[in-house]
Amino acid sequence: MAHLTLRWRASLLVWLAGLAPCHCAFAQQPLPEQQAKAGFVFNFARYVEWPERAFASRESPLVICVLGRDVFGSALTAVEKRQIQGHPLLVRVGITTETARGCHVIFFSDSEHRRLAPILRTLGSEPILTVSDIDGFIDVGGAIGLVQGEQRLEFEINRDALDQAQLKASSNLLRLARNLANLKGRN
Amino acid sequence: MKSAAPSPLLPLVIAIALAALPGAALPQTDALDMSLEELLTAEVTAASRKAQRLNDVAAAAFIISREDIERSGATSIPEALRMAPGVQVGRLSNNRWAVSVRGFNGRFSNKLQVLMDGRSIYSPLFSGVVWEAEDTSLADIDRIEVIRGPGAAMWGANAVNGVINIVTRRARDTQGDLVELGVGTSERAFGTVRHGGQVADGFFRAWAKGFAREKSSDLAAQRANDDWQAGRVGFRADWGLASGNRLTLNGGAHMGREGDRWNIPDVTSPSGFMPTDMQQKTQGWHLVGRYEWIMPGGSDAALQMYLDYSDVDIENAVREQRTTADLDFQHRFQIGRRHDFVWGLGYRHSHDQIGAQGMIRVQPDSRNFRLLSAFVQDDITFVPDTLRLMLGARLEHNSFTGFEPQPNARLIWTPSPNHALWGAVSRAVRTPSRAELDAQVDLSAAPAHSARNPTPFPILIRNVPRADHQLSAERVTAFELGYRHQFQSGLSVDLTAFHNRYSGLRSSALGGAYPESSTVPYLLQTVVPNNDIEARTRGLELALDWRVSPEWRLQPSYSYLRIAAHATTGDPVNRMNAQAFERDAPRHQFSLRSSMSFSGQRQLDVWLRHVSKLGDADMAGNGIPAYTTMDVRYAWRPTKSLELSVVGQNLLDQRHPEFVPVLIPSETLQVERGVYLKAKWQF
Repeated sequence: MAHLTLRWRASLLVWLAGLAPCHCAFAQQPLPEQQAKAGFVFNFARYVEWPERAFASRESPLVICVLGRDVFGSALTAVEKRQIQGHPLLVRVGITTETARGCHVIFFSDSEHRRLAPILRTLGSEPILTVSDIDGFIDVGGAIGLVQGEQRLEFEINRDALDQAQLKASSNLLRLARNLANLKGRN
Repeated sequence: MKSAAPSPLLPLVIAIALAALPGAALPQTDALDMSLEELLTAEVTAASRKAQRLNDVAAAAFIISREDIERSGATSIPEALRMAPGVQVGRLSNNRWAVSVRGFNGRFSNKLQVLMDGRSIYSPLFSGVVWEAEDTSLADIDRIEVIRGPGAAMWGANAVNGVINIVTRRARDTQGDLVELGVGTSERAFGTVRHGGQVADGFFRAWAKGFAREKSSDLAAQRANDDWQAGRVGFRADWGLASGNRLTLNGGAHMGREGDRWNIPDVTSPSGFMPTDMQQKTQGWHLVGRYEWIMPGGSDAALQMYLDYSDVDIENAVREQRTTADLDFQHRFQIGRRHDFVWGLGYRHSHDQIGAQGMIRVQPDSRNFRLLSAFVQDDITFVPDTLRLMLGARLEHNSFTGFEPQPNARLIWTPSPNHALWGAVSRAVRTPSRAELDAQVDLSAAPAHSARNPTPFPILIRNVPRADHQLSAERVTAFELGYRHQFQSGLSVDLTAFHNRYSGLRSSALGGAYPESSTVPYLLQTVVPNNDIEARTRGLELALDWRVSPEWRLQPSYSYLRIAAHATTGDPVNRMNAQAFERDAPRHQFSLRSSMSFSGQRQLDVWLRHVSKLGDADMAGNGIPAYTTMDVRYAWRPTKSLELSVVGQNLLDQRHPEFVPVLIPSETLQVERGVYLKAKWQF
């Protein structure tokens, strides 16, 4: 009969026992992915400045669109109760390239990964902030890519794409971007 | 050899694990009220990412993520592959593995295509992967995609039963420095260093790793001769050029020494063989360049080229030096919103030089292998995000068997983002290997007046190549059906059923018998390869992923496999070969992984595995008893940059065998219980 030797059992028990008291306080409850991503999208919109022509008036809404499948559900629609610089927020889901005009932020959901390049090309220099969690999003011309870090989310910025869309990102946003932080020699 | 029953300790482990879980979930903070800084430091449960990406794949795909590898405690790629359902991994020794998908396992199991960053690591000598020569820095692996079932239309010949695609991380994601050091029992010592930085508007990383592994033991629990020392260096550089064009270069070189002990057939020995300590030296290098660009009109294209050199030298037996050059082009474009086309062309040239002596002879000693391939696939959307049909075909021409068409059709219905039903019918071929075509190998010797040989002369059984050095390709027609569902509760289910029909499987038949004489007179009985086996397999693979709570994740999987093979001739060797196919893979495999995180600083991972018996479970008859084993990992992160972990492997018994070597007569060895400590420092 295969079995653990006594010595083994004892040592295994000792270190397992060491784990048991770990009812320790959880500093912070982990965030569900959709909520965290919605939080990021909302913050990106806060830290980006659109050219004046992007809004009909000072009170017209800032429109956040989800292209492709709605991956957020209620996590994103909750922003509709908020404002950014006086603009009320509006969320539109299930838009297509044809109905993308009027969006200020477009989140590309996973389902669009095959059509990224042509869609980004169609948007051209429209003042639209493009965001996605698709792998390599900024490499194909997207503005902000959400990437999975070690149990955390991080983001990367494509400055050329922002410039092309005539969007101004605050220095705070640029500083926190994973790829740009490195460029300045800080880690 | 007795079977390893689950230890009485197991319920205790589970009980403690449960006790360590937190109670009711605390109320959620609203992420919309968090600042960017807070969001960047918040721990996120990446619940759906993996599952969602898989949801619209019309194939039995499973992704082993970097986190999975880290938390499994696996120290090599084959060990990590045990996590995927439908994959059979048998560790032959501390430096050799048998890995297959959906059956037909062996050290040179030959129905699997394996790629590392687009480079095929499948050896044309054996039609298999020399796993001891293929490795990378595990911390740099982004994911391992395991696609079960024929993937030939997209991936090319030999993707008969599956494709394993090892993808490393972008250089941008591995910036800074990493040092990993470990010591242990089986894993005597190992270390990796990596540096990532920037070069000419791009990112790079360079790394080096080395390790030394202990010897395991044979069936009599005596020390074996399977120690292993290896070193490896590599780099990757990525440039994102203007307008979305990308250039990637990666390369590496490796060197290793692997011990082995062969029972070399010997007609002068009373046992019929002579145990002989062998020393294998492997070395090689590779260089891969890939350029991806966006064409006018928004279609994507990619051009990839690689050079690969490998040298496997088993002293006093066989040495293979091989140089491969490969060129691959792919173009993907959309027509309207309905058609998503991918087509590609590939050319591969492989040149070998083989020197053999003793029990192995290979003639001719040098051969060129050329492969020309073209493929096309149309992914047709009938109802957006709901119903898609994929039609694909590959046409290949190779130096060994000529033209090989390989079509497939796949249909997937995704009524909702978390619900999918798919089916596929595909055909694939496996081209014969250089060894099957040209090698002469002494298989065994039966002493005179023994149970297997009542004659007064010893008999030497020798595999000889066919006179024309020709064999046909093996063919499979596969039928698959799959279902995936992600429930709101954090549970996802992935179920696949398959039925495969094989024809022309490689076997061998009795050839002529000749009186011979060395120091003693003996009878030489030859066997000659043929394609005279047909087989049917059917199976079921179930993978569950359950987020019990944000801190606890359970991943059970179960695989069922049944193989029925028969010889199409009455030849006794043919019939024996058919029986061997039936016992090469376990009927049931069960795996349960439990991953717990405590306050982001501690992790406890438990991995329980059960593999049912191979053959008649009688060691003399080349069987392996069922075994159950468990790995445990505990990791602690005292600071943000340092992680300490202790990993116990194969804890439930002192040692157990997992597979019996065939073809090359290595002795059967046992996998031993082991513990190692590891420190990982990132800065």
